[in-house]
Amino acid sequence: MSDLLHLLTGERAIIWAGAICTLAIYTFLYRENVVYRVFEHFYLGLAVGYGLFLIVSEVLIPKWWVPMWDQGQWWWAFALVGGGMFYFIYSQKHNWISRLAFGIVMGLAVGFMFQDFAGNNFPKIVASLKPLWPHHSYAVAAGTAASIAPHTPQASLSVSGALNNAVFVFVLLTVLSYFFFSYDYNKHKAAGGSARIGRWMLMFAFGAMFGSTVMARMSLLIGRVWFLLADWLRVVH
Amino acid sequence: MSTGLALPLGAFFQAQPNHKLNALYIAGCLFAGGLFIALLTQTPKRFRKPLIVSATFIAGLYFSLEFLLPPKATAETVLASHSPWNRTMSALFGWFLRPLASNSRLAPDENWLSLYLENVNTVWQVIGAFTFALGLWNLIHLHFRNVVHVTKGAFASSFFFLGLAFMIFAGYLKQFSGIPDLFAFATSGLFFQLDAAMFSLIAFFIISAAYRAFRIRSFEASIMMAAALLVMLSQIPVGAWLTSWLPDHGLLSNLRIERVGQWVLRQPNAAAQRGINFGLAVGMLATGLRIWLSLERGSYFERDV
Amino acid sequence: MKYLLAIQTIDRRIMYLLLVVVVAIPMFVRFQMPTVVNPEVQGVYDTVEHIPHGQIAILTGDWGAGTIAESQPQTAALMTHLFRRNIPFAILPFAPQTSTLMENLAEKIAQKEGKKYGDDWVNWGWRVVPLPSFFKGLGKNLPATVKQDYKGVPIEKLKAMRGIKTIRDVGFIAHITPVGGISDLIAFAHEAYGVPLGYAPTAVMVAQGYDPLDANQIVGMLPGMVGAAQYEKLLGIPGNGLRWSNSLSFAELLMIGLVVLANAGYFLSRAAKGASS
Repeated sequence: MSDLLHLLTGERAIIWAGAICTLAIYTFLYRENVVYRVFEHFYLGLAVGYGLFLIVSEVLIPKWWVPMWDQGQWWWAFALVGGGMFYFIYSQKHNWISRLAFGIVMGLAVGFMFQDFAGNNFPKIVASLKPLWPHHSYAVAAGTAASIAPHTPQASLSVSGALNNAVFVFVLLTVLSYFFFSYDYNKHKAAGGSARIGRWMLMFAFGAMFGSTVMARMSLLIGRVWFLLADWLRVVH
Repeated sequence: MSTGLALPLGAFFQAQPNHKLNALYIAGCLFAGGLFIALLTQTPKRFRKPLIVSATFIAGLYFSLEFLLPPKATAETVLASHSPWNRTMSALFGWFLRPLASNSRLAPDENWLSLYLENVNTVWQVIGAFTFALGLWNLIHLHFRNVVHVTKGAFASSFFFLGLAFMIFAGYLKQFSGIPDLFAFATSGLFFQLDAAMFSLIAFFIISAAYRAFRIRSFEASIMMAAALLVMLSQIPVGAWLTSWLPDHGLLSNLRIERVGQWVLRQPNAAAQRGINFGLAVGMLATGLRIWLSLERGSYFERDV
Repeated sequence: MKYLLAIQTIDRRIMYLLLVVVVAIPMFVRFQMPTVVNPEVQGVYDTVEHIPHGQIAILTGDWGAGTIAESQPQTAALMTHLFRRNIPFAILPFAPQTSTLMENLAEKIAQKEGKKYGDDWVNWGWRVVPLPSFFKGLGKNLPATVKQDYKGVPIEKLKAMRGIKTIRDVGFIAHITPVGGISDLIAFAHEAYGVPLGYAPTAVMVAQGYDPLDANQIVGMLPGMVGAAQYEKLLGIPGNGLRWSNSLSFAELLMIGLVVLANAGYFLSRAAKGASS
């Protein structure tokens, strides 16, 4: 029985199943059809089942059941009560109890976000204060304000480097001005002009994002085509 | 990752080695939890909102304080320093800093709250894991209705249940019977393959969408298209080949397509990305504060309790 | 006018077919196009090149089968480099698929490079870990935080982990990811402990990666498949990255060609309409 199972689920079987799944999904490229719909729903079922398996096998069993039942940490039973509170979302009368549970989870998430915010953004603010004038290298005494900046201000700065820094600071400031929604741009012409340039600068970023997105999506296809030609059909090596 | 709550709450939370007694304690916890929920259902309406507000605030306070309170290393530095500022701080907050600096259980970057990080995270994860059935229920409900009422999508919906049952069965065999083969097939042969195929469809759609919709109709669209083309060409080998006739060094080398693309990515793109990130971060911070302090508005937050 | 309309309304299925053909052709015909190494790829290479002996590297990731064409060559290039420098590394997967895929890849490369599990690399196994507490744990006591590898072996018993006490013994962390997620590592590993971070995102996240790169929060980046190809060039081992980037070149040329064609049709038909009216 176990040998048969091993054969049915062996490497070739996995590759054949993968090829059939891939081709079934690709039938959608011709037009909407029942084969695609069936595999799409099958995929959804597998995905939900996989998520469920992971939650049970990686969180609930090792982090809740084993400590509570096998290691005698009986207080973990309270977690079931806490988790059960979420299900009051289905109760018309006591719906608010689920909000209590969601409130605690949201509070924790917000607190965590504060830590992440500080760790990520404060150093970026410092890094945005770039020198704009070319200079030779110079020493900075430890403990002085200049030594705080992470981009080593003591290094020399060439003319092209200073120009690049100027471009960077200009783009950053104009983009930030685009996000100031509290200005009436009709009244404040300078702010309006800056925001308009900011919008153009954002287009650079969006263009770059679009260009790299295309590359990423094409790469996904390359992976699939390679799988079909190399692993399944074995016509390329 | 460890699970014990024994560290913070001392003697009360001692593991119970006797299996029967442990089961009894668990039953007791569930009974107490049931009582707690019964009590909640009886809470008068006027106390409900303040209860939610306080719970959200206290939960958010933990990570915030863990970050904001000084770590042991800072306490040591302030106490050892003779600068006027640090001496003032020592005089004002010595009652807090001295026990912090002398606590041998703490690492230099930790304060007392850091000791509970692992426990808080584990509790957060476990309680969060119990919500798995919320989303599952909605999907099952939808597809079950399709199958039972034999709607147009009934045939496809039945395959949702087939996929779900197959993966659960394969997972069960792996977890409880020690037979991993079927699970490997369900994941590597089916789920991962369908996942990859489904996402690779986007490559086809992106090419037809760009062909149909990417028209230079405005100045903004022109900038966007120019940046997109530059980035695409500068990253791939064929782009380097296109301008490989230009010299490697000197002024003209700056016109090589990979260098122009690099400049776009490293200067205007990086600065604009930072602007976007700052905008996002400030927005998230503001929203976070509003949620934490229960000031957020909208249908969910303003719903009557 | 008929032709101008025709070049703006090519049937999508013809485009799809063309795309598959241009992607497949370079897989049959072996050739090498010039590959220029970007400074951000060089940055990662140089950092790995200078990890002191006695320290380990950590390869974290959350990629799966969906992005195998980008993430696998990136991971393979980094693993090969670490093996060749005799720097032991730990795999720290943040997704269950990643654990299997990275472990299989390490086994495959190790066979070629003559390396052994436990001595030259370890797999800490998939962990559902909240990063702040995990990295604080690594900062205090690494073996006590990691405890065991994916097979359940205590990590103190593994040769690769000998002498590794805290995160200060980690010389480099690389994050290979399809979804970004570098910000947590920046906050809790780099900013907290100063560990050099390398970033290997799929191309879709590349544009955003230049922000932390400018702020020196990461030492460099392998931008998608082309990043892997450039790293392979630095190592002198042509692999899937270099080979597949030929297909990528052709696919992008097709895309650019189609966009240019559609725009040419659009402008010419507008000009023709203007002339007739």
